[in-house]
Amino acid sequence: MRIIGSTVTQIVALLNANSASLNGSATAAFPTTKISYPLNENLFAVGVLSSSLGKRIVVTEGDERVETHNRPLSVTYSVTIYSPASLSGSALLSTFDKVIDCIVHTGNYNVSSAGCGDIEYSTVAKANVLKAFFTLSSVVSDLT
Amino acid sequence: MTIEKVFSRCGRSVRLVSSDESWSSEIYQAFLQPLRYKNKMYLDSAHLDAGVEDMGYYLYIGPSNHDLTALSENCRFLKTTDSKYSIVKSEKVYFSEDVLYIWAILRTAVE
Repeated sequence: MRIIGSTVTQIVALLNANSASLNGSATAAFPTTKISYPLNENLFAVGVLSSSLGKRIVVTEGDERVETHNRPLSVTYSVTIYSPASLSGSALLSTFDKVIDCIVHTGNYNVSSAGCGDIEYSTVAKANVLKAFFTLSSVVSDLT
Repeated sequence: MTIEKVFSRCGRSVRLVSSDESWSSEIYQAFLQPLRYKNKMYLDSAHLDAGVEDMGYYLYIGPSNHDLTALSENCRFLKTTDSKYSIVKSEKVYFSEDVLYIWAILRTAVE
């Protein structure tokens, strides 16, 4: 399992390294670059929704409770997928599956939850849009 | 003066191209101008989480012998000397039973 604490740019780099299988390119949310028009491949915008750092993990050894330096960390990322309007909505869901596969198998991250909202059509981008999220979970060491 | 002569005398030089520009029509003249909305929304680009959308739409009026409505999906682009546009919508405008001119809405193509 890979330890998180990763930045959005690391997730973006992972998706871009697998752009051939994902048939698209990724960017951190709200860049200043122009979106290609008409869209001819998928476009992924990655951002952070929330993060939480839990209390130190306590382990029990017999009757003794030992507080470790480890703390559970989870970060929820948003990923918005823009897909050419010529492709179907099911292709968009399939692309989201591939994103999660890429993060789990290629990135070796621990995805504890993932989900998405409705597929919508953006009249501005002339593309099908799926707003989704995934949560990466890990344990980090707190030596303070 | 026929409408074709007005196009050739006052129009801008344009040509139709395919998406990869492997195909191109001959250069001809047509009218091309920014499309202006009453609410002035065209002044701003749209900032989306994937980037910035250039909301530049243009009105095209061109000769009937270059039928934009009959183009295949990957040939729906138009080039001037300095810009490339994607054809969003195109229609024939008739006078009686004859096609008088081709009307179209274009949008700036971004590569």
